[in-house]
Amino acid sequence: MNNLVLLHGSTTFLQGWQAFAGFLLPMFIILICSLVPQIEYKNNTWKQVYASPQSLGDIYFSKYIAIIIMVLLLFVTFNVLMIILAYVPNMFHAQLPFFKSAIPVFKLLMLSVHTFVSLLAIIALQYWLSLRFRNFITPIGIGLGLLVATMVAMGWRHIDKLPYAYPFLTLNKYVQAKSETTFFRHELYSVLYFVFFTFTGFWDLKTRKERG
Amino acid sequence: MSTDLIIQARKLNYSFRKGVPTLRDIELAVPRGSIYGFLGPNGAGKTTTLRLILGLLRVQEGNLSVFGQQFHQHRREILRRLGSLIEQPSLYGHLTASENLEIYRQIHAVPKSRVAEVLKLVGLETTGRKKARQFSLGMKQRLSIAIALLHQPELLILDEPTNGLDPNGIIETRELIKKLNREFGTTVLVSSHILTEVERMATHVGIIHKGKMLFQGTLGELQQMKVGKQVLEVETDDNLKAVQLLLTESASANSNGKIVMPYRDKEHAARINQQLVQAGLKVYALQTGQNDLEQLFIDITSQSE
Repeated sequence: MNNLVLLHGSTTFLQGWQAFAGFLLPMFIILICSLVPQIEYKNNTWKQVYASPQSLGDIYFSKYIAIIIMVLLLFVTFNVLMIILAYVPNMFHAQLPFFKSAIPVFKLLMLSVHTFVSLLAIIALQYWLSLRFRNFITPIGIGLGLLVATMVAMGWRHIDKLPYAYPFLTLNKYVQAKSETTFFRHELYSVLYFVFFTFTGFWDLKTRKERG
Repeated sequence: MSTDLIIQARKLNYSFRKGVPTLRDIELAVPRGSIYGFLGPNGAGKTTTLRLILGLLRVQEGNLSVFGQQFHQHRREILRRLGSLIEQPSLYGHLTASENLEIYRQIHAVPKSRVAEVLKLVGLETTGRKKARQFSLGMKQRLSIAIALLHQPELLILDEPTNGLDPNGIIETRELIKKLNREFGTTVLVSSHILTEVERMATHVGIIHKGKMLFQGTLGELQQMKVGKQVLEVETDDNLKAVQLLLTESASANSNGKIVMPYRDKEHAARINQQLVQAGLKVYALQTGQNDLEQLFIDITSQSE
């Protein structure tokens, strides 16, 4: 039995995930990666941060980790709220199907894990861009541009090389997969991109001539 | 390398764009325990120099040591021992004064009591839940000074700390700097574009103009240089006659309706006044000329040529 059938109970959860994974999630990453470093730019505080006795690693990774935690929190919030939104109406409208089967907790959890892994590539890229550019429109513009361009290229056979397609690919593959725990090729690429852009971003920060 | 110099810069050159030097052969020697007034007009290179000291800019050419250490090898050790305020206040607008301090308290790992102490020191203890965004420029400036003081650094680097402060705030800041220097032996490097302000607190002075050091030495040495440069200005009801009377003093009338001559000392000024009054002239004003930064620059540059 494949994941598509079980995710449904009805197709409600799947529909929720489709909008979430394909567009809202990359959008969230683009915004959150831009807005967190923007706090320092907006308040003109980078100089004070760099003139404080913290290693560059502390500075780079503390914000990075904060962003990743916020992404994880989004997954928790999204899943919890989606389940509540299914079950609360069901209390008032008995004809809805949600009480007929158990909540597919494991399937939703594994879908979240897969999707999170698929996002790592764009988290690293967007974080780097956002540290690089003082004007927050620049990383948002680049991110949106790449996201839209990727959507246009969705039928391309090399689509699994384009990071902005990964959450969408994950959902598509996951609902057809036999097993929840096997990772897909593009998710491996996502991890590789993540390592590459994380390193590049840090190197870029370290070798910058002018800080703050 | 001399150990009693907290900051030592030798032949420091910096340019933001190739061929357009911002700093040229800057020599800086800040002795331990001094209040070093770093003086220069806007755009002279003060902030660039201070940014180099803090490692916000990378040294391109020349040698710079802080606490006798090279910055790029000992970045954190150096930064741990100094406090800084560069240009406009660096504050998180959505946080209160004590929340802003709390961030740096954790970085420096100092006791919680320090937050209240420095707030009291800069007179912001009553701001409570007010966000830094709502502060006046003067209050922001004080809070920035509080952040710089939080970990009781050996060296304070303050870039135009009295910018935006009212006369009272300027006096308080000056007194605070002197107090820290006197009671804790804090070395202070403070930049300013106002000569009189530096003269009132500094023990040592460095003057920078168009990216070049024009003068460096103690305050006494600076004042030595100014002697003989000072002028006596006299205003009378008949300047023509007065000039003739004072020809031996090499007096001359200037365009502002005043007579100008070299100032020697108080007694001399009194004698001039007497001379004029005895000749039946009305003396409206008699004063020593303001030796402002502008004039000082002209003097120093003309001297070095």
